[in-house]
Amino acid sequence: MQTIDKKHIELINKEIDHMTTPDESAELEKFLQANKAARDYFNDLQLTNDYLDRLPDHEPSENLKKQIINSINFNRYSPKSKKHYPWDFLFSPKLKIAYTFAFGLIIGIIIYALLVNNSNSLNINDVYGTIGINNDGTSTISELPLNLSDISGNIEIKGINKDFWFDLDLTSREGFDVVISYPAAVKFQKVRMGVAKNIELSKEQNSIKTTNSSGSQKYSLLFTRNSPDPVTVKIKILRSGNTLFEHKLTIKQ
Amino acid sequence: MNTDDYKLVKECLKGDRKSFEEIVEKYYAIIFRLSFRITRDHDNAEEITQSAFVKAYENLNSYDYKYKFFSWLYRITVNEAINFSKRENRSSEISEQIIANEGDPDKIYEEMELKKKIHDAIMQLDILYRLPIVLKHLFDYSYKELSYVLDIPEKTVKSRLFTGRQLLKEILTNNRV
Repeated sequence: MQTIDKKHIELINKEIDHMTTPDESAELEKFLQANKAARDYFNDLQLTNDYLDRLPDHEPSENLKKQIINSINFNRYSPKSKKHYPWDFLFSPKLKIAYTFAFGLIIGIIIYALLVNNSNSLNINDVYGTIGINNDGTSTISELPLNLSDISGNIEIKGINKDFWFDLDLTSREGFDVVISYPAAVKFQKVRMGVAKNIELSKEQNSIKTTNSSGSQKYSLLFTRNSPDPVTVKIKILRSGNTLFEHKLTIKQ
Repeated sequence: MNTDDYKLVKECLKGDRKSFEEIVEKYYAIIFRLSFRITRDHDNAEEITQSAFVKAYENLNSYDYKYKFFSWLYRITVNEAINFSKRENRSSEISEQIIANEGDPDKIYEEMELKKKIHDAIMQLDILYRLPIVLKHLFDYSYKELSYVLDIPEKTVKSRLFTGRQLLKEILTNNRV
């Protein structure tokens, strides 16, 4: 009995699958003519293949298409729809310039307001003078003109809110001391130098003393109260331990 | 790939539902036939068809345009059929719904008997051998195309196809066909 080698079995199957080249077909034809077993094998396979052609195709149900479509969640690739609101026009690109301008305007107003506010709130370091009531909200608490034998000038006490200060504008041929005594509710802040020459500052508990040389002295001594409650302070001018001038006053505004 | 299919897929990925409905319209009948040839059961074939389209839609963004769209669709169908077969783990009943021809009643009966035996023989094949035979016969695919659809090497395609055909022949011979 003739046998079929592996190569020709593959060639027979390729022929049935319509995958042979013309040369391979010719070679197979020649082989089949010479080999009855191979010819029978080829015919059997061809017949088996032909049987498949005899099977009718079945058609799907009429509603299969509808079933398929209904079973799909079509949101997967849906474009993200944007919700529309009545105020959407506010975000229109055309309004960007207007928004930028408005934003700049608001910032400008805020800065201006802050500056104006700053000018209204008095910085104690910048305030001194001799006018009783000032437009800037400060007020002259007391004004003490001095016309001693060899010391002349003016001491003005001014204040705003809890702050007050002594503006001293004095001229003397010899040195002298100024002592300001105050209660515990008062705190000495600092001395602001005007046209002062050779003054020395010494601070003790509840008092401050300036030692002034001869000539013209102009400076301010600044204080603050712990609370708006009235306080009584005392100013003295001394020379060699002798009191030349003394004045007590109450700060109460 | 088919230009129409290409456009439909593109539009579908942009969110156009109608495009996928067109794809379904175009391919659902052939996908059903393929499924039926694998399962030999009408209801199971419809279930596989439906499942294949759902999977196709869900994975449409991973479709590789270098392959034909319908080959990709067949590949999904084959996978669904294999999964279905594993799930069911049973041989489908042979459909008795065989279209009768007009003519001699004896010949009609013989024809019906023959078709039933062919159905039986195909269903006796393991699904691994059944798939290449069905696909080859239905679409006359090349080994390369079968390799893609079945997701196996070309060499394995040939091996399974040749062995499957040999087994089918033996079954039919044993059944005196």
